[in-house]
Amino acid sequence: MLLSCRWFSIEYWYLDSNQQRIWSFPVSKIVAIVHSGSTNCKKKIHFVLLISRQGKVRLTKWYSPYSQKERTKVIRELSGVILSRGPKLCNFVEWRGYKVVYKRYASLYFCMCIDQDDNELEVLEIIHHYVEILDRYFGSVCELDLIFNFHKAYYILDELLIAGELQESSKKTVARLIAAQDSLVESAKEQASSISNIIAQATK
Amino acid sequence: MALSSMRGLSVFISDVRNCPNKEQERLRVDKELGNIRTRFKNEKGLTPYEKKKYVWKMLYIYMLGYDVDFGHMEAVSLISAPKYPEKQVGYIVTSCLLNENHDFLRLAINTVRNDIIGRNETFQCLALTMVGNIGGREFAESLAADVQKLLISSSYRPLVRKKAALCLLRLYRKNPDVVNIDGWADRMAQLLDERDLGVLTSSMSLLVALVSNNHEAYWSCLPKCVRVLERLARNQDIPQEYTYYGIPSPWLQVKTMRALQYFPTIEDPNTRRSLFEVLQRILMGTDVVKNVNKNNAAHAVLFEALALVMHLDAEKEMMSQCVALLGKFISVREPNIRYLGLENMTRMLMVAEVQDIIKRHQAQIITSLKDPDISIRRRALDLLYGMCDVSNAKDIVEELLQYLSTADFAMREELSLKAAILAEKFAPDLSWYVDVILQLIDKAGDFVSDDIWFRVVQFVTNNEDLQPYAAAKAREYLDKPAIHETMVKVSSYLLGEFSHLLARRPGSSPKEIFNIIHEKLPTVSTSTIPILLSTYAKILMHTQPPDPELQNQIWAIFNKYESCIDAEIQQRAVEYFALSRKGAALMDILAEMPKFPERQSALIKKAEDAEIDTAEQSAIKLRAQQQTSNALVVTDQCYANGPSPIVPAVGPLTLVKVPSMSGSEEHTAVDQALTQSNGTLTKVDSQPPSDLLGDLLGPLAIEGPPGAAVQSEHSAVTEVEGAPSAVDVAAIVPVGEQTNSVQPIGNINERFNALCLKDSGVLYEDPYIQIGIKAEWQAQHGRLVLFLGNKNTSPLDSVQALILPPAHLKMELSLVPEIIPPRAQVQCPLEVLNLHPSRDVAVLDFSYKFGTNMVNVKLRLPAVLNKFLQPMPVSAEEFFPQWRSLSGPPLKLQEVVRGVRPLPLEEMANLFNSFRLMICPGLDPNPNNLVASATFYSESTRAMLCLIRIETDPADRTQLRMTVASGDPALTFELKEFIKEQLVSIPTAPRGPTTAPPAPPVVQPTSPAMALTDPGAMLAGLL
Repeated sequence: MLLSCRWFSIEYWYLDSNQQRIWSFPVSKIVAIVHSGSTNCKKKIHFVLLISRQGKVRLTKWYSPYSQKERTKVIRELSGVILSRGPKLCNFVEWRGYKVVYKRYASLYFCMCIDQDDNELEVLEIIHHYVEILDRYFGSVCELDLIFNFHKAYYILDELLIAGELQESSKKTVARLIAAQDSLVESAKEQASSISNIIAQATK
Repeated sequence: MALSSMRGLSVFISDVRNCPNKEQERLRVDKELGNIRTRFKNEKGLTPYEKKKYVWKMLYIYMLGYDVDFGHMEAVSLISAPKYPEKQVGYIVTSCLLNENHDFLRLAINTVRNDIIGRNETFQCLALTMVGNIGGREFAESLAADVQKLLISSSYRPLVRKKAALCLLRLYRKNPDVVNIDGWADRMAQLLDERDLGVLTSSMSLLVALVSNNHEAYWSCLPKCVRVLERLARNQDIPQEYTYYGIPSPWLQVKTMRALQYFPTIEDPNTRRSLFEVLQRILMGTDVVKNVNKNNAAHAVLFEALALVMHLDAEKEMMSQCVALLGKFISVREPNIRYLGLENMTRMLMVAEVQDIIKRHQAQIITSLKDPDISIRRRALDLLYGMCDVSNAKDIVEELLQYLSTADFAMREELSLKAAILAEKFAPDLSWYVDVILQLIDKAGDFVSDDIWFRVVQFVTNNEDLQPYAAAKAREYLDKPAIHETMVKVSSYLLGEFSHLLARRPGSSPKEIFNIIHEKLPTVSTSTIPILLSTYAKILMHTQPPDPELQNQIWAIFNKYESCIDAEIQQRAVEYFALSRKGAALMDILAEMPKFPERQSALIKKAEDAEIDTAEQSAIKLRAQQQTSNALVVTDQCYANGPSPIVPAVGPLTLVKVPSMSGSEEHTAVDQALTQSNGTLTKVDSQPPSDLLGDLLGPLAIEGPPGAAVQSEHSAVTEVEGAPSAVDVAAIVPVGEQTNSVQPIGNINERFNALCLKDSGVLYEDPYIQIGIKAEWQAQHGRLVLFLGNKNTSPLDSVQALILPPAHLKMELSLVPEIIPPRAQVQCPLEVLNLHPSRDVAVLDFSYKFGTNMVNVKLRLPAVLNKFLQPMPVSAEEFFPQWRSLSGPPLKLQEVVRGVRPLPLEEMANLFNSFRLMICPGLDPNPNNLVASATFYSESTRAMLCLIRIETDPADRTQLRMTVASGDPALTFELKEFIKEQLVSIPTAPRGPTTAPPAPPVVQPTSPAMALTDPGAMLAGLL
């Protein structure tokens, strides 16, 4: 686990000639990262959270490894921070050395956690991009759609992001892929029901 | 709209929604979990549809925040279902419920691989998505090659390839070795010619990750990135669906510019020119528009362009353009842009020539300090802090002070720390500095840490001109009706020391001073009373001729506290009372405190530590490194005892003229510093503690493999063809041969010693090569990786690395390439297995040729005894039966060790902890004793508990009695000897160049008279 780290590029090594500071970043940060078993590779989005105004979780997706305990803690802390922010403030919150980019749509807060030096606005527009796709799919999406069809929200997110990186920026393409998935599921269902019909017929 | 007709799921969701309170919800959820559990138990009866439904329910419950600790297997098993609907659910739920370290994932690797290499495109997509989201190291090893194939083959459709690109990115993050640099660079460059923008976007993310680790290999991608950027910026040939609010894929633009920032520079003038054209167009062509999304997207691109311009060191003109833009941004209404304007301006501070232009915006930035949004206020504070220098310090600090009274609590501590640092660094005169700090304490006493007032005391003590002023100021503050306790501390300290300088001023006679201070006594806590007592003693001493009335008053107070329950207060009261009866001798004993040695500000140190938590922008560090105050000298001197300079204001002996500080005081403070920087005391691999220990340990005794081991190695080694002759037992390689040609950088011994305590760092460095090491230890197994980095622009050849293991270690080094390409780093894993306990050390015989120079070094590898220890907390119930059952030699050995380097107990405890021997406080009723425990792992002993007890003599710290017990005689002996080595005669920190380290206690018999300062010679002597 630990060895899966990509250590440091060779430039960083040169910084140190008398062992004062090998790392170009604070050492305890490495400790933390090593513990969670991830690397110091640049990472885009660490996790995606959808929280309702009442603090209910509507979707979570973790791209960096967090234990169950950590996940609960993160959600609790962040909903406290974000839900208490008033309107007309900026869409960024600094939190535990990371940045959380969030945007409120009606009763739902969409949050994505990124590194300090990532491009905040870019991520903010990923959020909007996702919302637009949801909107197109559900036809004017509302929180209820996402509650009862939470699995759809996951499917769509998976077409948009992988490994915390944007994989597709065309709404049309995503819509097409989701439609194709839906029809696959539908046809499987039809097949199943026709088979069970046949069986039912035969056993009559 | 019934998109999925899973009625059971919908019913469950509405049930949960209809629960009136949390309790009901829990009941409903528990009921459902029970139901699912029973259904899963007799799995036979489950249809795929039902299984799917239950797995979804599990995910929903999990999302609500309940623990779902079963059913993972069912979710994973759905992955291998033959039909799409089940498989899809399996993949998605698995990737949500489990994280990469979960054992069940391993079970799925085969199925996943079959899906990836199979012919079914939809299955491929599902598998790639899951691996991309949660793939761990094992996935990386078994799947990377297949994923690469999918990415580069044009026979797969874009939807598969873009997923493959990101999947590979994930695997690369988990294990960089999965991408073979040599072959991959060209492929990567080809991928950048991709027409499909989905695939291109994903490939660009992959490129960013690759170049962030090693840009050298990917130079060929640079011009292609510029071309992609040009294409996007000019909107050439971009399909409509890839424009976002009229902007050609802003995400791809941002990513491309990100990738470009990992190349140090752009040499080709044509490429550079076209890139700057594009950047210029972005900088100038972005306007604030009404539509929020268009605005955001355009500015996302703009800010990335700014970062790239900064990185590329553009001409001054362009830089000033950037600053002008940022200046505009920080005053716009849109909060996001304001925030980012401030943030990027802080980054801009790195560019020296624009700092003056930034200063012109000071007024606007100060306004942002009052912004309704805390995120923006934080940025403004950071920027002000970063841009502060001598010219504007007064204004900025005064603004910060003013803001302090209205600032929110979340920011006050940071704010006061920053104000204090700035005041110290850029004070135009010292009295201003004193003013600032006193105001700071007055306004935000709760948020002013002790370091801040310690620091002001240091300055006042060291600057005689300042003393009357500071005393007068302190006197003024005491007149205020309600003052903060910290103010009481600092002013009574200052008045105790310097109030005699005020004696002629009105209201400043000793008696008046005493009265006004004594008024505060009932309001303060026990930590302040000792300071007040010291002040009284000082006042008494300064009152010449003695005032009997005052004397009686003060004696009465001392009397009262002589029976105080607080030991500190009691001791002071008793001592001061006794001292003050000594008459004239008092003058000598209680004379003014001597000057403090110059030292680095604890505050700056603290700010650096705070960076770890708040990850502040580099401005602080930049400032801390570059700028020294013109008013206050802050020398960066090292001090042997620890990172945190402390004013000995609260030690019992402080008023006595002893220049060195009271030991225990110092060390608690060091501990505090450790706790601050690390969170816990036991993590010793953070910087300050390891330095500390490194200093203490100095050059340790070298112990190589004993004769017998060397013999066996020798025979083993000679079998390897071309092995260097240096391993000959009899032959001591002449020192000159090794060290004349290439001098190592840094002290090899110190590096080794440091690595014994931590798991990563540099093992060896010379002008040509750097050898780094990173290790992971688990029970008796160790995995080390050697990083061989060629520092030059020409290759190193004839590289040979040979491990000479001692008899108790089985070591296997993977193949080391014969040639290390220029400026490349090779990683060689090394597997270690510990067979039985021993203190012998493995040696790496490393040689290479640079030009005609043959360099050969022998390096001890930090695979030492303590690495196979695992700290193990034991309770009293576990400890004592064990301790008793191991009744005597050879399992339990006791030894009185003399000549121990006198270490305070805390430090000794730290030392033990750093060797992974866990100190168990409270087990031994005697506070002078330490009890430690750990589990030792080796093949022969397996996991074996080791117990250690150290009894120290507070009167004579150079000796102690040590008892070591374990279930294995060899282990007991080796561990005892090991600890002894660490404790005995550890030389004091070898600071001066002239202090030769004393002879090690356990010298190899074969190398009696080695020049110990030369590590090469030492090692040569060993072999």
